Amino acid sequence: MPWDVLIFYLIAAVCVLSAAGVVVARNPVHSAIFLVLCFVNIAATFVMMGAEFLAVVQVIVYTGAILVLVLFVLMLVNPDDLPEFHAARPVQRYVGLLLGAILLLEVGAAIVTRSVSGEQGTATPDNIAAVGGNTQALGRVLYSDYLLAFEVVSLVLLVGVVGAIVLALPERLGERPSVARRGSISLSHPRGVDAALPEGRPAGETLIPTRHSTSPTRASGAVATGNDREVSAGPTPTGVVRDLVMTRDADAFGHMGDKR
Amino acid sequence: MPVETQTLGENWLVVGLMLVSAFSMGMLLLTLNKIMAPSKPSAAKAAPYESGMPDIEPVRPSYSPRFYVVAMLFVIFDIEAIFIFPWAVIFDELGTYGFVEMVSFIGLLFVGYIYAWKKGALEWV
Repeated sequence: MPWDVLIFYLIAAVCVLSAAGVVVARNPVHSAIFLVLCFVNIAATFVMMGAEFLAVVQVIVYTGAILVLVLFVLMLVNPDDLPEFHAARPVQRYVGLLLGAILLLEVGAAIVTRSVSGEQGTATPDNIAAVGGNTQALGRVLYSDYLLAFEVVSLVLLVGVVGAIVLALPERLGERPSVARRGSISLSHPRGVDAALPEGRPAGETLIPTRHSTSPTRASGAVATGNDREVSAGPTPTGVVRDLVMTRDADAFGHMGDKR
Repeated sequence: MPVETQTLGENWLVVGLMLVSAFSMGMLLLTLNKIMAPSKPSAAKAAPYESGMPDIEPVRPSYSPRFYVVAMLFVIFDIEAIFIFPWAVIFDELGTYGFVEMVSFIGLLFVGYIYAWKKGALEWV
């Protein structure tokens, strides 16, 4: 067996196994690392097919940038909050299985019949080698025949920049997150400000009134309004209810010194 | 410039060697660490804070979504850089025409860059 065939099978096997690892791994970070391995191996198959530029793009864009995005999502989102696969709705599972089966049929049909529709273009390996390589060949076409598309890409990327900022930037220009602006103070966050809890609070947290909770008039007032929060006495310009959020009962603090 | 048709082995042998040596170096260091370093894990060592109050809840730092914006901007400008590579290798052939093309391409994205800058998306805190 010639060497390059052997190397191809090695690369393809690692690629398929790591792709399976992405799906099978329980830990999302492990999935992301498997995905890196898969992308690098895909880049290696591109190299074996003589598409060096594509291989480099694969590494720079997918392994370098997209995977960074994936890891950032994992960093921002608590992995424990991610729904398990089995918790997915049945509709999603069936549609996923159906789409997977269709894709398998397509790929299988292409392999079995060994035919891809369409004519062969002029970018044969010999022609590419004649101009010096992939990158040169791509540049010649891209910056002459497909100039309009190239400039449109610039516009699309510009829209991407604006969209990313408009959708994802947490605060508007010039504003800093402050206690007065947020509705609650949380002990569960290092800086004392729980930006993640503007309105609703996750289960398991109890509100501890910040002041005068034992005062009968205040308590009855709170009951009357059906509200267990206390409005802070200080001037809150936006009328924001400010209260102390703790993640367990207040009793937990009382026993803390005794237990350890 | 003479065009050489290099086979896969000649051209990518160096890259392969680099990958293999980098991987084996990492594995070697990790294995040496595993063998030689004393390892006596305990619950106290694994705790986020060595002393002070017991943790009320699992301590997990919260990250600002700003980091994600920076990551997304990185992807976009990464793709911009990708488009510059094929332009750079045939810069001589394209001449002034190609230069103007690329100036308009980068100029449009520069508008996006200014926008990101002015919106404060590049600030860290």
